[in-house]
Amino acid sequence: MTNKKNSISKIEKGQSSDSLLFGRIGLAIILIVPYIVLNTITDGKILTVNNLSSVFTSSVTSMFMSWCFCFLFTTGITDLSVGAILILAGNVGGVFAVNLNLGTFGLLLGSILVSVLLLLLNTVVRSFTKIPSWIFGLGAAMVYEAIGMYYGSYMISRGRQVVSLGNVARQIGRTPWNLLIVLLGFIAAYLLFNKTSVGYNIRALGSNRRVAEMMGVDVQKTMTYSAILGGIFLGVAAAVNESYSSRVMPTTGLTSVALIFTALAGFLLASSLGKYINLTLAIIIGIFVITSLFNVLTILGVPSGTWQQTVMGLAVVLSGIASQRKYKGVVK
Amino acid sequence: MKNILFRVKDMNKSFGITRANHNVSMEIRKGEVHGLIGENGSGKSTLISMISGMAEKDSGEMFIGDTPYEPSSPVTALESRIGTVVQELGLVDGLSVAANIFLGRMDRFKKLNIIDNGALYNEVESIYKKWNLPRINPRILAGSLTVEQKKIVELTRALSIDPELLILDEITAALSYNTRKILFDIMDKLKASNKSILIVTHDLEELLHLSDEITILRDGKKVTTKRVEDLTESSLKQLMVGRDIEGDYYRADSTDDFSSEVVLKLNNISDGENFTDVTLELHKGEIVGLCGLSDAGIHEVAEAVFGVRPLVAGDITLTKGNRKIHTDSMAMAYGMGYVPKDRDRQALMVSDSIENNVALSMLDELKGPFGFISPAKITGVGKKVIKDYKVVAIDEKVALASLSGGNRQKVNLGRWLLQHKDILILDSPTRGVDVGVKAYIYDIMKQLKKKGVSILLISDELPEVIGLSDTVYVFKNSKIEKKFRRSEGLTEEKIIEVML
Repeated sequence: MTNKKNSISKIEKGQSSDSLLFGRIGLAIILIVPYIVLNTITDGKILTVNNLSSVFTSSVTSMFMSWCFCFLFTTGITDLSVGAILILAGNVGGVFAVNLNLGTFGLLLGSILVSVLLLLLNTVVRSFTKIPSWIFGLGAAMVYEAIGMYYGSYMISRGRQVVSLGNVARQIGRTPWNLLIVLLGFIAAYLLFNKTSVGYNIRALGSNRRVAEMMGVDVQKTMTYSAILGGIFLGVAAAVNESYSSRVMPTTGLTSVALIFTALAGFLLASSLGKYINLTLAIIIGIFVITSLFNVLTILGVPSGTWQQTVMGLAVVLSGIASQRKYKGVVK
Repeated sequence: MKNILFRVKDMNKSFGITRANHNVSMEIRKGEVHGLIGENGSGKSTLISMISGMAEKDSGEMFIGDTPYEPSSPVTALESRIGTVVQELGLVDGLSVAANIFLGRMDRFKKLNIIDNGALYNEVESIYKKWNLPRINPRILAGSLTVEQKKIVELTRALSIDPELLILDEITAALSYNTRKILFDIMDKLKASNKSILIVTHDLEELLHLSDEITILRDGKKVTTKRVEDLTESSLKQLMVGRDIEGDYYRADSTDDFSSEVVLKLNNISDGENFTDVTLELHKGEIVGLCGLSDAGIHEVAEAVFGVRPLVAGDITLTKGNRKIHTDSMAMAYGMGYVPKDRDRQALMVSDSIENNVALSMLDELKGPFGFISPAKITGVGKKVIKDYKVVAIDEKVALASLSGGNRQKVNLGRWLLQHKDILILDSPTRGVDVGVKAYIYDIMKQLKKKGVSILLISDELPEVIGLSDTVYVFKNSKIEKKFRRSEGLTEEKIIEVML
């Protein structure tokens, strides 16, 4: 009897609530201690309300982009055109807000509309052509960057610049409205990713497409939903970015790809934290940590060019390494 | 027809020029276990795929009772209360156990479009309870489960629909002795409530013991269906392969027979989790068998011996040169080969070619004069494995994914044999292979022993361990409980008594 119990208890084994709790406490220490140390090194410049508020404000766009990755990249799609879409969607949102006099509503509507449509277009073309997503993403990024540049050139030819929000629709990029937006974004991402059939199907596709298909997951439908949901979060990211910056200049030469790196590093870091906390919440922490890193570097006087780029590259690689430690533990 | 729960009629399915099923018809009676058997590549899995909605038929008809049955997906099969556990499908590693059990059918747990995880987990717990299944935490990610635990989850998924027909494709090979007993109890319960089971297993003794009726397939065609009373193991083998197979699978001798030279020593090894204080010696020309209940630690010992599982205590020593094994590359360099239990995930690159799979374990030997890998040598070893070990494949360039389980295992084993290793660690070497390949692998093991190769055989099949080993170590609670020498008196009962 004892042996049977022994054997079954081994079959039952999983991550105990104790180890989960210890893991979370350990994680909190690992995250908090560097802030305290760096705060001491910088004579208390890190842990001030103003500085933390500034870090948070700079993080919001990347948080929404990272939630977009939750739905898009989790299905196994690596779409590198999201940076170019972010710029284009922000500009269209700006036109809706300023030129159509629709204000914040127009900014959000235009940005979301463009993001959803372009991500859907990417999904359709990829599924027809069967091109690897990262190759298609690079091509699409060049096209979307070019469209932005056509718009920019057209405006310059008329003696004007790309749309600037001025004083219109600037609240969502600033505190305290951005706090509310992040809270709403988190609730939506958490529920959609963890508590809906679509969320389960998206995660299933990313984990094992063939098995998911065999278990009744409709692949095309799920990919479409992932583009729509990812597009909505990317649209909000574009609107917040436009609202925060007032004007976003179109770029060329694939420089838009670099725009996704903070979000990507945060997403990968969040994936590694996923053992202890839910991915959608871990994204907030991951992005905040990565943004803090640059904040600290700036405060320490590290040049914003080469050195900060080096740190960003390292952050992506290290977060990627950490995110490989998956499939252990329980579902939060 | 009243007595018939399910039937297939003139089923046909082709893959390119291969006719996997050719006019196959079969009837499954209510309250009975129907066995399906045939060599690897005989069309069993194809037939099951069509019944369970995983593959479309080319032509033919299926009926549940008298009602035509046309599953468009595995989910529609489940809706028709046909539950299937297939040999090689697996689970979605990134989702919880509970989500895997109800994936594609989550709508029932929705409240205001949000999945109620509490209800989902409770439902899984109630299925465990109803069928007396070993409890696997429904919250845990499927990716962290063992092969056996995954099979239990797949079984739970199939049982979650309260099936009229339960299809089990080679599931017992992945289960330990105690979990098999639970499965057999479930089968009895289903039979008692007039439900039916279609079972595929390569274990003929088990098939004859469990089934009421057996259908035999060969080369995609039905050979016959017979009541189990009219069959014996040898007649079944003959019907399967179309020729007589020599009666004795195992060794004919009944005493241990090996050199006194010790080649490998395990000295009080522990991994801190799965096995503790394991001490044993492997002699030249000896076959040492390890057996035990699920999670007794035998498979983990195999990993440790090959250097892929770190130890927290003890050491593993090759007596030749007094070398300690710490990594797999050391194990390979010092003359060891390893065939792990989970062939497709731990040993083979199934989407790559036969030749590349063979070459990977011996790249240094395939270098040309300037230190570059020679494509001609890679092709050479691929061809040699196909020829020497009778792998059924068009050529060495084909992907392993296109081969049957038995032929994949021949490649898996063949690549080590080609290198003339002194020590082989064979973990469940006949898992999921048919009677012909099984006999072939046993024959190879006997020949290797004669040549002085030492073999560590890890298996959940007690007849296999008893039939081939010189020395048997029985594990219990992560430790060696008892050591048996090969003798006429060594029986399954004696080992089971120690295991329990």
